[in-house]
Amino acid sequence: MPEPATISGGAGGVDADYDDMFTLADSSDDLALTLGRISGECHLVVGDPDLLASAALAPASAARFTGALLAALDGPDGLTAQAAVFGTRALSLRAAVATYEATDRVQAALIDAVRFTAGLAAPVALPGVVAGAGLFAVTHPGAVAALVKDPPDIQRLLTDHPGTVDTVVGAGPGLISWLPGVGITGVPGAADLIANLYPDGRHTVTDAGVDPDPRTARPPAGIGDLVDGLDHRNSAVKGGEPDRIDVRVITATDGSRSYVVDIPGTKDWNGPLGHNPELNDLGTNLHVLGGDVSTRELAIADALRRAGAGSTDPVMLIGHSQGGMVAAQAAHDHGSAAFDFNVTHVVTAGSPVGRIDVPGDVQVLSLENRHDIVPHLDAADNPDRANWTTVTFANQHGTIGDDHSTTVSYLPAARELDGSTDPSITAFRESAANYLTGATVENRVYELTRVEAAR
Amino acid sequence: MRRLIVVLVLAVFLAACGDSPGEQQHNDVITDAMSSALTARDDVVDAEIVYQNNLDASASAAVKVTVAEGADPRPVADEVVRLLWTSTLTPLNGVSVSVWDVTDNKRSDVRIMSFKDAATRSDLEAELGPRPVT
Repeated sequence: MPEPATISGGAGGVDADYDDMFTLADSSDDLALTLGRISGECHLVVGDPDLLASAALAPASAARFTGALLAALDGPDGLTAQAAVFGTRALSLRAAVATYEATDRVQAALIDAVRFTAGLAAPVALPGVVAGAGLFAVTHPGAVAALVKDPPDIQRLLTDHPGTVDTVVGAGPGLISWLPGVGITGVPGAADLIANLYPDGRHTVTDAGVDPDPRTARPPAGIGDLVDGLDHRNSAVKGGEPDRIDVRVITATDGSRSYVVDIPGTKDWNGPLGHNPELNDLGTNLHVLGGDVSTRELAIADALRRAGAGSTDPVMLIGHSQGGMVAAQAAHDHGSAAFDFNVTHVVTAGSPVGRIDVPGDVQVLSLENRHDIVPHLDAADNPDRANWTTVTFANQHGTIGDDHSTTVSYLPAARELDGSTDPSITAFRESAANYLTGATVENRVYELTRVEAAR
Repeated sequence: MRRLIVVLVLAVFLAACGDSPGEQQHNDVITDAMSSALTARDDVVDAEIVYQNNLDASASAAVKVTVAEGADPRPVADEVVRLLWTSTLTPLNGVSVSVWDVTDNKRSDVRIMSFKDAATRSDLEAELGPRPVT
């Protein structure tokens, strides 16, 4: 029996609840102001000249009226008190949201700090651990012999406990901070350094024609079809061959167009310093982690222009692994000169994107296999925000590669989501109607290449 | 910067999850032979098989076959699955097969399979016997 998927963020997430609390606070404020205004107006009635004149004729009645009016306005349950209650409630709600958000931030920072400190302390603790292991080996020779004879399956171990990767990535900076020269530079400075190690060059884009494959020949009708297109392109692009992406041009019955871009992951794990024509390489991973506008992102923008997309046409970016990172970074840059498109949606599959700041006008759906270690490479959970839904499912195949696979892990999970009634998933599907109700589609393929920048 | 260095180290580890160039060459020979076997059929116009075993496309084969006008895509898709199952490509888990009529692009057979899936494995073993490699 597979574990059920957990869904965080989006329309049903905590941040959406915070938004609801803010809305309630605003409504309470409005109500408090209205009640206060009515109360003020009614107080004026007490001094009304007609009432004062009638008091001379019927003082008892006037006194009863005035008393009743003041009780209704200023009594324990009167309008003035109610206005104060609603005003106080608005203040309390805002304070509660501020506290919750501050607590979330502190917890995230605390986790980072604990991991960093663990890494920092590791060299001190290591001799003790080694001595303990040696003692164990001497006193338990049978256990050691069994370990040597039947060593643990490291891949199974890691995929069963992918949080280990968070700990390693989080502790690693503390661990290596003992080394001279690595302890002072922040991430932006590191991006410059990495850019020197992996020169990003500039891009060229070649139109590789229309793909007639039946997998992308019909307009996508759900999240499963969206990820199917991504798997289709990801399975066809090999390492050592040019990077390719798909731009699915979807035409609605009214003739309007939307664009879905399928961006595969890393295919070239190249070493530093040399020029690499393949844009889907390790260098692009590092540029995106450093927050750079990568050459691959610029090439995707060029491909979109060639496919006919203008700056106001709706664009959805779908990426696996590195493809998701580039998609999220492009969403961050959307509207700027680097990526002047109307990115409305991003779908990531197995991508470490938790530290990329995607703006609130972009709807993000992140799919993460609980046993896939790759989304853990940034040692950060995805933010629980109203515009960012994260679906965590369990699809254990026992190897790092299969657990990260679009074909056997992410595509089946995406198909499952098509039947989901979760409010966050439903809201995402509804918001993506442009892309999921097209009349026709044309899948255009583009070859992206890196060329050396002019010196 | 520290985080980037750690990720760089991890990336080197992850890069080792894929096939070596020698293994890739060996597998390319196998897929070329399968493509030749498919294109030798009268009903097949073209066949392309991409096998990959790297972190981002692990143990996967993607097959695209176009068939001649009027040909039935289904027996061709059956043949592709048979060729893959009985091949010595290893490891092999994710399989995607697209077969379509090159002239009208309306008749097609698409199959997405996991060779590790217990039910799929059982069906294929019953029909084609066990895989020649584990």
